Formats: sequence, C-alpha cells, structure tokens
Amino acid sequence: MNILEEIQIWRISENRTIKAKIVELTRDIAQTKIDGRWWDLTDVPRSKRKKENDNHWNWTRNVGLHRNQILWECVAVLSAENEIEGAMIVRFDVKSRIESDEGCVYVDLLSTAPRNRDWLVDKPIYKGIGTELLYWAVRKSFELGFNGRVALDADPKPKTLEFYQNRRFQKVVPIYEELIGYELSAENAEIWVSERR
Amino acid sequence: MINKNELFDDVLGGREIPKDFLRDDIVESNHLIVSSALDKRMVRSVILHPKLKVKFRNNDLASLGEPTKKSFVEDIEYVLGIKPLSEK
Repeated sequence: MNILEEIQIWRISENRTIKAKIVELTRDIAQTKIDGRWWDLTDVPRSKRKKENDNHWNWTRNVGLHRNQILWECVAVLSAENEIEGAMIVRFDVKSRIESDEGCVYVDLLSTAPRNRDWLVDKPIYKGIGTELLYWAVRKSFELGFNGRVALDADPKPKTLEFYQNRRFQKVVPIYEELIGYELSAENAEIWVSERR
Repeated sequence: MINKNELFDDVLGGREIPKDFLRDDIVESNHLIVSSALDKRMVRSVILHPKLKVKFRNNDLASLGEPTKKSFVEDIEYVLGIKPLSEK
C-alpha cells in the first residue's frame, strides 16, 4: 500500500484524535475495502441506504478510469483498523473560478464511509474525514503551484453551506445550476494552513 | 491541530465537468509513462505550468538519473515559487 501522508482523525468514542494515513487509492483497495465493504450496514434499512447519493457509485470503476491519468489522483483515508474511512478523486486540469488565469485542485468525488455518517448510522466511528480529505487537497494544491486553491461543486444543503462558508470557501458559478460551486482562494488557503499549526 | 468545530463529512461529485470549466492551456499526454513519485512530480510541473516552456519527450525522462530529475524539479519549483508547506 502506497502511504502518502500520516494524519490524525477524530475517533468519536474516545473523544480524541488518533493516527491514520492518507494512501493511494488503487482498484484493489476500492474493490475490497469500499465497493465490497462500505454498504454492508445491516443496521441501516435498505430504503435509507438507497437515499444516499453515492449508494450506486462504483469506486473500482472510477479509480480504473483515472489511475493512469497524470492530472488525476485517487486517495483514501486508512484508519488504524485497516479500514477505508473516506475516499476522494481529484483532478488538476480545472480553471480557478476566482482567478480565471489560474488552475486549482478540483474535487471530482468525495465520500465519507457510510459507517461514519452521523445522518445515516446511530453511532458513527470517526468524524471529520471529509475535512481531512479536503485539507489534503489544499496541501496538494500548494505542492502543485496552485497556491492552495481548491474548488468543488456540492448539493445545496444547509450543513454543507455552513461548513464551506466557515472554512472561507467562496461561492462561485457552479458547473450545473442545481449545485453550488465553492472555491477556496489562495489567501484563504493560507489562513487554513496557518490555523492548523 | 484539528479544530473540533470544523469536523465535517460529505458526499459530493460524480458529475461530468463541462469543457468551459477546464483549462485550455494544457495538454495531458497519454503517452507519458511515469514510474515513480518524482517522475510524476516532474511531469505534472511541466504540464500544469506551460508558461515555463519546458519540453521533453518520454525517452528524455527515461534517460535522466534520479539526481538530475530531483534537481530539475527543484529548479522548476524555485522558478514557480513553490515551497514546502513547512517553509511557508
């Protein structure tokens, strides 16, 4: 397994952070630890599981499509229990919508493992996997020379709006009108990094 | 440090991006095969920053030694002002 970085994630039952890893998401990992594992939630009714946007996503296929494309990257959060707690696919060939002559890291797919979703299960195991994946995207953006710019398009949910606005993402023109486009500017990416220190 | 108030989980994406939103100043080569993290870093730097006007072919990449590649990447990153986050 290709380990990219060591990170900390929040374990709810212990009310503290524990060590985890950002790893390269391969087809093998996607198949065995996401597609063949994530939706194995016997305590959650099928009707509730089916309402989740990503219930039908095939991560093995998605990773297979982009694994050899140099301007894409597939990553996941691996916990101490050797489980994938969240996954993300990003691409680097997208224009910034704040500074049109610049590039950014674009979040093409992002999912927290269903067992960690507080709106889906009674006792999620980890919290904040989405934040850690996004923060990795910010670091990647600095590494690629995009000065921390990260963009994404999300469904218009109040909780989502609150998070991105608190994190200083700015609303930008969305790729489709039913979505909300968000982008973290270079200036606000610097602030996020400095707050993490 | 993780701020407990910013812990967030989401599901997003899965939509095709219209061409208007993609950069038209870069070309992703399907012929470049990278075998290491350093190769990937070097190729990405060149593709994503076309104003640098650095050109190389796949056989150029294969013939370079690791120290040369590392030096090449460092030079590109210096010109672009890319610094490790720890130095910011």
